[in-house]
Amino acid sequence: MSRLRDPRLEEIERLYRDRFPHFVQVARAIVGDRERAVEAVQDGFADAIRGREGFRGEGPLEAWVWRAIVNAAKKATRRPLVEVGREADAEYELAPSVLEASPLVSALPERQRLVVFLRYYAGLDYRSIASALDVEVGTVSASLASAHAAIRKAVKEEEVHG
Amino acid sequence: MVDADAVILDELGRLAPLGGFEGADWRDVLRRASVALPVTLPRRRRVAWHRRLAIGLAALVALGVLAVAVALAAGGLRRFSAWLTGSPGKPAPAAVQSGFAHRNAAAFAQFPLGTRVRLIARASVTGKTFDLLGFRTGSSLCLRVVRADLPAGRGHNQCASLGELEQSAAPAVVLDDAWFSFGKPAVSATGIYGFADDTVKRIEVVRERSGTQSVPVTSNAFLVLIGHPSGTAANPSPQDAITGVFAVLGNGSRIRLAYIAGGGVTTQAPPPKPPFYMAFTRITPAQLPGPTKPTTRFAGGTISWLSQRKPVGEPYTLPARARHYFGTVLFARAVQPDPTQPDRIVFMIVRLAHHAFGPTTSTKPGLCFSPIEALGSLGGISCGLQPLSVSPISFTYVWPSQIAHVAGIAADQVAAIKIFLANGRVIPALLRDNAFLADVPQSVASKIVSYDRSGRVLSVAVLNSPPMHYQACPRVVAPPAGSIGPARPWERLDLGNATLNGQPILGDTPAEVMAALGKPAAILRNTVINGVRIPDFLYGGSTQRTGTVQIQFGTNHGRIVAVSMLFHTSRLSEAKLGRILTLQPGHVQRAIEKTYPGFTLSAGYGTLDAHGCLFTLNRGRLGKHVQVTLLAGPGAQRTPELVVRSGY
Repeated sequence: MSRLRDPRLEEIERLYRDRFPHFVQVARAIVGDRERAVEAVQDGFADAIRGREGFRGEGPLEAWVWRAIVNAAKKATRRPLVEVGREADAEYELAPSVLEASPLVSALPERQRLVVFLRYYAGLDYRSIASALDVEVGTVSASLASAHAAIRKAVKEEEVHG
Repeated sequence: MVDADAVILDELGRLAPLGGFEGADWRDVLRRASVALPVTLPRRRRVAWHRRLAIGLAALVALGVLAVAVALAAGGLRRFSAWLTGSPGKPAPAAVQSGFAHRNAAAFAQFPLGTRVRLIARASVTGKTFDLLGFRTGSSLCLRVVRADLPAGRGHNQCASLGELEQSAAPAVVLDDAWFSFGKPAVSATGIYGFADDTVKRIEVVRERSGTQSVPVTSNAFLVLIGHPSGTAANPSPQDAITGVFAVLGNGSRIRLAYIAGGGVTTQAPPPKPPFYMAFTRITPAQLPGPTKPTTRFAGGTISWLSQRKPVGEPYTLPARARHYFGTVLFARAVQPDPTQPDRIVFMIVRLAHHAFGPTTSTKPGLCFSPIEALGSLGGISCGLQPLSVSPISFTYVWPSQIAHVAGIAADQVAAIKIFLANGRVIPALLRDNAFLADVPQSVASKIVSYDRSGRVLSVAVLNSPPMHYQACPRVVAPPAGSIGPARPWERLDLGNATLNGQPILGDTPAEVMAALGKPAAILRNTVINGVRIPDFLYGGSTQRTGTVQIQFGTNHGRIVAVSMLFHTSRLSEAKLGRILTLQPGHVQRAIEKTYPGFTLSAGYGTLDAHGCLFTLNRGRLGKHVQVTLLAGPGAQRTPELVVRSGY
């Protein structure tokens, strides 16, 4: 099969080859185990490739790819029955292994949790996180601040009670 | 005061440690996303006969024709005695047999029910035992690697036809990568498995960091696994790429095997030369044996049983997940071209979802096909509204494997399909009910040719060529022409403390940057965040083409601050290394590593695939993170370009 050169596809491939472990890391934090995380990353990139013509350059391509990965990982956490016909903004279900390994982060609301993952695991800046999660930059900033506050509070309570 | 950063980092490190590239497989991504493309004849170049001959000879030598000639002269076909007698290894334990039967029953691409598996070898890695199982079905020899405590798991499964193995250029064939991850903290087991003929006693695997591992060949098969911690967020496990696979013969000789890494693997040093990693070259049909162009015009194809919705093959139900992506399946059947091979090809008439292939996807019913590999449920789905209207065949590959399973669909007009290899072999594809399959070694260039009932050539296409071709990376970058002027304030870089003109820059506001570097030649305002236009400063020229230094800004807690610095000027002067953009990229990489040991190399210059034309070094995390990337070659806008960026 012959194919024409596709710069956007090449850029997506470069992201894959550069940052695969980070994509898997974030997906794993969402789905709970590495095998399913790899599946989600593969699916997410496949989604990104299929939809690459829809990328309008309104933010970094990397952020747009991250959105595909996060959505694929969230989909992977849903029961098959729920999966059909439901879209990515539905809350995803936390795997028991996630709750066990990370009780404080797991206790955060989903958006804060995802912001934390993208900030700390992926090292994205606020603008990219905003683009990846399709929210305003201010929302990212507020979510991260809230996450920090919640974790500080939880740790203090643990120290007091525990 | 609670340090929330530290608490989060600690929890995140436990939750999902940063792993390596195990499981990375770009070709699998492409397969999942693939769209059928017509088979077209690559444009033929006009090449003088003597040059063509020289190219042809060079290609043939590079592609191992001599190895085949030597092998065949030495005694004909390769022998896999343990498999020819039908009893490799020993019968698998009951639990293992039961696990296989369970997995087989659940798969679409099934082996015959009642298939008995044999236990070839066991490997214990980091406290887990892994079974190498084998079985023969018809002409296919199959290997399965699975955790001993999860015998019904998906595992890793690959088959190769006996004929292909017997005619292999090398005495052993790596079938596939295997990787597993388990435990807390996570541990990974990674490696390879495959077949070896009667002359091979051992297989050696050389890795970049951990050195050489040697395992005996058992019953003409081998499994080489190594265990390593998956790492943590704070201490990621370094990559340990395979850089050599060797077959050690009974007479002590050592033969390097062809090997394709599963994908995404990076090496710190340049990788071995082809055929290892199989750097594909651009081959035209004229450089390979067999027909070079169609001899008759193809006016458009049909698959009559499909258009009439006849119940050919077996019924097939597309998994819900794929239905969601692709749309409504109106009709689907799975065809098994060769009853002795498990691979199936699914034909579907699908009313595609409007988003399936981007915003321009038509929602009229169209034809899709998908290969299903052994014990699997679905490969990538290729769709086209009328894929056979312009091309007699459409095909894809079932990867990863050193012996690719080429799978596709053919129009009614196609009576035969053949694959011509550079070494002179011709492999007939198995064609049945408009589906075809062929095992093709990837270490040899090849082309696929379709014929009509009169033996006329309908199409010719090179396999493994343009889609697999990565741009060559220049090892040597041409030095700048003419004299180089003195470095200006914005061209004085110190990587030791990540400053420009003695100022931090990264993290500075536009006013601070202007105070440090002077007024920019131009200010671009292409980026808008929350309604605020974010500037980029250009120095040395007033456009992105003429500017030599670009300071890019972003926002941090509502402040606009510099986040990256891009240099593409020979004038750039680094505090200790001098004019680094006049030096060769590999030299710059080594010089930075040596001079500034705080940096860790994450991708070396001249390593695999798309990494070829850049190197990346990282230092610190989060607020103190600095990343240095040098791009050179065809991927860069201008060559070379140095990027220093920070996570603020």
